[in-house]
Amino acid sequence: MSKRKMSGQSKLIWVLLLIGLAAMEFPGVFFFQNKVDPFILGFPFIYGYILCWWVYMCAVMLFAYKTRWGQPKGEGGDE
Amino acid sequence: MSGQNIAALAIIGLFMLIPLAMGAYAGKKSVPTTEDFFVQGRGMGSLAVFFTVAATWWSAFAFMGSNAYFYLKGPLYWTAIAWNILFGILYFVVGKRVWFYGKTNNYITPKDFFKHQYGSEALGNIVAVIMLVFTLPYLQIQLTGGAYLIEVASGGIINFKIAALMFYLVIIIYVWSGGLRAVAWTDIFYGVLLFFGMIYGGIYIANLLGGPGEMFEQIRQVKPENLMLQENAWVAWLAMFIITPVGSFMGPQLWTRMYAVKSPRLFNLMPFLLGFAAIAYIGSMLVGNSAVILEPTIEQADKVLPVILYKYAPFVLASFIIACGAAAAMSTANSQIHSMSAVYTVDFHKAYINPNLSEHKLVWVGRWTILILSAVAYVMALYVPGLLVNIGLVALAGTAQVIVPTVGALFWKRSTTAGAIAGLLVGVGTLIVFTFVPGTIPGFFAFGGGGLLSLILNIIVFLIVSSFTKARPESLMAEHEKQTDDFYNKKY
Repeated sequence: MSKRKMSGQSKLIWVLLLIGLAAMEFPGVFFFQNKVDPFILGFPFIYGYILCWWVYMCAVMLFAYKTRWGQPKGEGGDE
Repeated sequence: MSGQNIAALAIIGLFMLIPLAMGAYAGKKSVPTTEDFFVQGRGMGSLAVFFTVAATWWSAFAFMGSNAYFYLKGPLYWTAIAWNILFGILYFVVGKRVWFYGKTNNYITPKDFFKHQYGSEALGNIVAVIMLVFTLPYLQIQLTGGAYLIEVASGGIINFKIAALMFYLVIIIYVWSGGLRAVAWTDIFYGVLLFFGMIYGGIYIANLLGGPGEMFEQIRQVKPENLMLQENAWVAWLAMFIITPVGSFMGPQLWTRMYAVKSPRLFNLMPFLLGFAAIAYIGSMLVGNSAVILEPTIEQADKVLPVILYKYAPFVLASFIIACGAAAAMSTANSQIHSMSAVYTVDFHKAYINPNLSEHKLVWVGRWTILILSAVAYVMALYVPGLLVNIGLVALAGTAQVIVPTVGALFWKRSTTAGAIAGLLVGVGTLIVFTFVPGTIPGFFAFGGGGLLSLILNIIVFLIVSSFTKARPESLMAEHEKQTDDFYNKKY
């Protein structure tokens, strides 16, 4: 019997990841491509903007790892 | 050649010799079987896997090509931060499944996966040929990048041809000696160097101009267009975001690194590790941008990094970072040569030329293949011109085509052999046309999106043809279903 259903936590992780990837790829090139100011963290806008999302994505991916990507512990997980 | 040039070459030479010693030691631990030589007996530990994947992923494309792109095109290459994350996610979602089926069914090469999952030798052969053909230009840019470093370090005394030849010889010696185990061990050494070398070099150079903020203010005065994306750059931005990680992930060297993993838990951690490591690009970004101020007229943009470092950084620091660059190129090259050798030896030589060859002799065929394929890449490095990133993107767009039948096999029961073959032929065919006749790329895809368009066409053809052609055999699907259940039930 298969146990393929995704848990609520898994869904949340994937939604957070998709939001991050979309934010990194689309607004930057479609709306901010000519924007230099304001500088963020000492970098021109597009560089700083992406760096902020990088921090967000690292946090989500670390959370995903810590929670086994939303999966309960299984027989093969700790091999 | 000045004393400083000789010292610079000695440092680079030393960085090449250390891995040779490691390769020789690894060779002593290896057993003369194809499984050990090509996938390290599926026993690669987590630390080794992370570093070998990271060092294979970070190539001359990343270490040198990125500087050139920041120098010439402003923030376009900054999409790399996102593509590194996508690469990690692919490793988790697709890689873990490929590992599981590989372990369950004893796959050694990528062809084994397709041959078994689709029940088609022809599809497996097409995938193997795509991998061999399109990995060659990617191997070429590693040799080119490494040769640039040696050429600049020697003050031009060692010319490009000799430098590339030196690079070629060192690579084949130690891949020859120890198989995947040697490659993985040396990649740990390289991976650490790469990460710190890239970041520290960038910060050092930017500080020469008063720090990153001040450096960007100076660019605003002399070349403000370098601080923003150029006209229509969004096409290349999106295309690189997809093509680079997918193409690299589907390269034979990464398939090997999926099969060889010992513990499945590592796949859960890889997105974070690889995504976090993306911060190293900050170094390339700072060097490439600083060069706009420091050296605005460099003719061969791929030489930005060595030119800037040797001119503006203390000699020891410059040589150390350049050795890291050589490491980046070499770690990728050795992994590529090694995995291409596996593809030829197991998929073609053993399957069609001499099926009765002993394990020991097969390993030797693998070694001779390493020699020949690297020689082809060397000749290409001498005669095929272009920016490292541009050549790399064509190569990656080729291997990226393989993601379509891979995902189809894993996630879509309706996918068929005919759909996979038709999609691959259309994808690769259009890519070749777009590469050699760029005028045929339609609409906005002409601004750096030819590879992406060929991948989209592959997907469309795959979906349509699969919907109207004969499904995979029932017995095959039943086996696949059972193994998929096992995968989910074990909750890796």
